[in-house]
Amino acid sequence: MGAGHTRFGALDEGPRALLRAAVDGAFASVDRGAERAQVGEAFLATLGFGGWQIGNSSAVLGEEAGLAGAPTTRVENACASGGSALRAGVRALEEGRSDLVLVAGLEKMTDLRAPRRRYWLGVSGDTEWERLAGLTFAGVYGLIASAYSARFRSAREAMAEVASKNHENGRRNPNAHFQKAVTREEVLRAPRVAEPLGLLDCCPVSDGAAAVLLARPDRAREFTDTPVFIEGLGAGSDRLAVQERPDVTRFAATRRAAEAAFDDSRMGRSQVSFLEVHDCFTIAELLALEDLGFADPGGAVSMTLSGETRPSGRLPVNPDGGLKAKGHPIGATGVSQVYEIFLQLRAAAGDRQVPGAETALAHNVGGAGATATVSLFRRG
Amino acid sequence: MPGVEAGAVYVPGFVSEGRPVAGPDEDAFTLAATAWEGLPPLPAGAPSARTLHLVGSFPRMVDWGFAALLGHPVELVAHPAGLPGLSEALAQVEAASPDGPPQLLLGVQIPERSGPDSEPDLGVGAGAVALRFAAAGSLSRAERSLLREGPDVVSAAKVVLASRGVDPPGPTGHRGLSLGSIRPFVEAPVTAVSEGAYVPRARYLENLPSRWRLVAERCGHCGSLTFPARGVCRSCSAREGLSPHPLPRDGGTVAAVTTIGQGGQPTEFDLQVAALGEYAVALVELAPGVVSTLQVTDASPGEVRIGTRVATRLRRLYPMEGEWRYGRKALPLL
Repeated sequence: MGAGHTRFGALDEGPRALLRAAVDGAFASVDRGAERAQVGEAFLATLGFGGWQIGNSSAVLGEEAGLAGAPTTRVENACASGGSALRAGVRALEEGRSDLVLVAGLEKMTDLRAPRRRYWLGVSGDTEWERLAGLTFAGVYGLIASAYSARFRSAREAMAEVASKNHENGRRNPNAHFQKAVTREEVLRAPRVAEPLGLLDCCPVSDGAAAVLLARPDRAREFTDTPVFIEGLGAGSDRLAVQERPDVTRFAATRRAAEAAFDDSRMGRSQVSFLEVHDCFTIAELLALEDLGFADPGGAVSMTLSGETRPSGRLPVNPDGGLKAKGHPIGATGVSQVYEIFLQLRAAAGDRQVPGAETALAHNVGGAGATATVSLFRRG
Repeated sequence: MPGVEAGAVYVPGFVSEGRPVAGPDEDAFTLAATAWEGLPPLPAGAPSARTLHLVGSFPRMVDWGFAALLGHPVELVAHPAGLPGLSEALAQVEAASPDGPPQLLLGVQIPERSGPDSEPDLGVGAGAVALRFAAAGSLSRAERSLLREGPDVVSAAKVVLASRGVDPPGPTGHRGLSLGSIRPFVEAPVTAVSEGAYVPRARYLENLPSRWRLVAERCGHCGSLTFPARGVCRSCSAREGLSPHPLPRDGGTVAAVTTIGQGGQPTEFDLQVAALGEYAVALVELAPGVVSTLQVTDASPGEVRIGTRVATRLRRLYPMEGEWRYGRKALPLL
């Protein structure tokens, strides 16, 4: 019943100020108001990038949110920390001891020296084998993209279209890190980072925070007339190292998470109005469409190239710009997806409003598919 | 039974046209390892060598490195570099008991620079030789004199091999690199420290059977292979009945490949990128369903594609906390 969000980008604010701003925004968005004292428990999603506060960082959330004494817990599943914290928040709410549960996500990434930043960008992959071979995540997704492109025609063009579409969407999101359109040709011509992926296939390194307030469904109307309901939650995991998976072009963790979320809900895939998927690299959006069950293997190529996933298409994907254009402050990302869904399902997304949005799916991936969460939402 | 078992020689060296063909990710240890891996396999049940004569200047890690590479304890006998060391080693081989297990001799030479800015002596071959003596005392006088003819360890060994009708393999190695460009990597100080996540030395050592010798585990219950070995079957979770299963070192197929450039490398590889530029990393299928992530060496990026057949060689990976870390890399089979 409440959601807040900072700008994403290279920001002057430090981690504490970002958390405070996102939490303040979440409280301010509650139509009939909510008291800090009503929050019985809080969860902080963060990787602790750069090491500014690796241990016990959830206490910082408690301090900045003004939750004197409430239990706080950090949830860390790399880039899927946000989605995982949402699950933890729902579980805590179901326990019945809290009126409200706060779930916040945070990452401060741009204040490090470049080498240290690069070091941290790979710490959530398999350290002993992938990293020792010289890979960061761009490299791991480069391997996946090479295998996918060898199997499916026009895959490279579809990846470029993902970047172009999400940059176009990001221009309509004032919180987005990138506000600039790019053409498919520019994406294809950009300097290579991890062949076949180029600079414009990769999400940026961003600072930012997001926060949501959860209440039990039977009490939501005490806070607002237009709540957004969580319809289903699912999560899954897979082997950490890509080399140990039978097929590198499928994320089994996403597939398991999606099955679990739809099983948990009364929704079918055909009822989903739009998707927020984890597009840390352009190839990842194609994999997501397939692993979530919205396209057959290879089918994401034509689905993307035909414009079906644009805001005007049959199934809009990442109307907020996605990780690709909005930015990817690691722990904040999964919570930021929920923020976007909160706006969209309350018809408050302004220029980027998906017409008639009734339901939505959020998909959050940790690393190169080692962990994943899928959450389903419905307009109240 | 000949004195020297069909030996192997590996001569990457620096060739006289001024083109470096020794990998910049190589040193005395990796050259010797490659020469040793070039020996013909021992017949089943044959005893393996327990004594290893080293001729040349090796990094300190050989104290444990060769035992890890061979997969069993081995007594190291260090000799001076060059022909004096070779003579000394041969004398000791011949003096050993004729009933003893085979003995190994690994000789390495790398051209020295007279100063930090000078070019190495391109007239001298660089590389390594591995000789396995089936039994002590059986080296012929003629062979002994051939080995001492020089002008250097590798050339002398090549002469012996030629006299037995064994063709030493020709030079192999990097293409399209200038000598100047590789120097920073070759001579980089080994002072890098971790800036965050890293593999502690103890975990690196624990993994060496899989990392250096490509040892997988075969499950006695379900028959599937697990790589890297972890003491548990990844198919049926059995913890008993697992047996070591070496994967082929010389045959793999690229299943996926990427090229890392534009600062996309982990910081451990900064020295390498500064010296050599971008590099390729591949998922290599070593056996059906068994895949390893390997950096590609001795080839320019783009040369390796999905479907390319590759071999694997032990090379230096990156410096960490005062020592080089080693592991296998892939190189295309021509």
